[in-house]
Amino acid sequence: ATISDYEDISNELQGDSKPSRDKLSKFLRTVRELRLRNSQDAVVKYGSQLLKHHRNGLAEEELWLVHEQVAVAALDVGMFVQAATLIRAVAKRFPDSMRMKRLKGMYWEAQGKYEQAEEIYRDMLKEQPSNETAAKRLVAMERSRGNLAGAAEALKKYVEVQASDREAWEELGEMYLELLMLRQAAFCYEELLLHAPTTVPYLLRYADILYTLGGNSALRTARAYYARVIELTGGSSARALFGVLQCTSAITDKVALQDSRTRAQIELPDLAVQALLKLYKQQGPAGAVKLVESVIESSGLVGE
Amino acid sequence: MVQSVKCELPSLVKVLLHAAKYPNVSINGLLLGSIEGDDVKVADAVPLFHTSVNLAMQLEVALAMVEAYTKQSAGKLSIVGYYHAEARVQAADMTPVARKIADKISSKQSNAVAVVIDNRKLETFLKGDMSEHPFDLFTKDGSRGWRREPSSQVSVASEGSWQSLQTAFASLHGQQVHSTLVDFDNHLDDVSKDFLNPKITSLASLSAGLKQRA
Repeated sequence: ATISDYEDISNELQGDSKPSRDKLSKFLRTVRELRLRNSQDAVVKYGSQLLKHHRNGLAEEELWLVHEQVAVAALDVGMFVQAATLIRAVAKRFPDSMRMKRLKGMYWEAQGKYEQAEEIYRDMLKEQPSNETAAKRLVAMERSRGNLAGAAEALKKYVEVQASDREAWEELGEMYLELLMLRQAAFCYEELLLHAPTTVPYLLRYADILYTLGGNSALRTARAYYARVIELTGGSSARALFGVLQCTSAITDKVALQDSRTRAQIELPDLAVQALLKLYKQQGPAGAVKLVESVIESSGLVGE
Repeated sequence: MVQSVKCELPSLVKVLLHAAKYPNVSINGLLLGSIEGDDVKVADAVPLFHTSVNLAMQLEVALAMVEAYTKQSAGKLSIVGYYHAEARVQAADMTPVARKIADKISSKQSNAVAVVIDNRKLETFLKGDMSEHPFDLFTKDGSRGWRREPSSQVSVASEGSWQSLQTAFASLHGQQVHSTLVDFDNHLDDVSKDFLNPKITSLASLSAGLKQRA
């Protein structure tokens, strides 16, 4: 599923006063696949409708996926009574499930009752010491309690064991960014890029972090990563194009024109300028091209 | 020494819609307007980020683009402030990055302000309790840094009021307008999206029953 799939089904539903089971089901499935957090407006509203009017038409697996999805969304927007009803139904159907216990823990977390939640998670870990879900919930709880540094420490210990857990590395990278621990954030993205070297969001994020760190060495590396994204996206990533320009403008030791190894470095910003202007001319809102031209002018790189 | 901060209703509506669109992450943006002596007039808000709040590259690009935009206004508009809302429910305060950004703005515009949303006050305000508005004000005190000012210095300009702000926001939120708000992060992902949000400016003015300014 793509974001535009989500936008399509979202628009379809907005105009529809009596949406069909298929539409509601598709919407929730798209949200699950894209892992969007659209709790109030959509998941609670459409999920409740699906369960209320169409539950008999749902396959067993989907029925309980939707229960879980709507329960979490309900917790997200403080609808504790509704969440409790859903969680009780799940508990009845899956009495020994770890996944169900996670929901119970989240029920307490959402209300700020951290001790009750922690008890559930620690029990889960006693039963299954390698239970990833419980470990991650404990990290999330630390974060909710305002202890971001503690949460990052705990998550760091987790990834030392579960080194191939991408979601965990991403989360840790974002936590370090929030803590302004840029080198550590960079390290997380280096790990992610080891696993998935052509993932554009990772390449961009890594470049962004290096740029923020600053210094000629980091800036050069950032520029190389932005350039890689330009390559992978056929020049259509505004972030990467701007990134190249900003890096080039920020790097303080200029290269010798004669050196053929660095010719690419000289041509790169010019090409980026051209690609950026083309992108804005073709797609930008009215008047935006002029603004971009201003940015380019002020960065000292004139469009040829 | 800032004495008053008068905000046109659409500017605050945009700030609230930005917060409503991304309730679980930190968001920030710029305030545009003019400053006459000690009186700050906020005419518009430009939502900036929800995923890149601590990153420098896109911030620099955004500042340059918005500055270029204000230059087109022949002196009517300049960047007069910065706004910020944290993800967690907590009292409002300036984060290190917020201070950095606000410093940058302040270096080009004296008496620039920083507005931080207090999430607890936001909750009660949106529920209809007008006793406290959620916009905490900070100004720069020379070398001492950013310090909190009395909330009473912030008000809704023209014929607006805090009640009319809450009503306008509630109306637009009910119509899902917040999902159409474009911040600079959205713009960078798809340059066809306009971070100046002209439609929302009109909608906000209409919602509050204000007459369109020429």
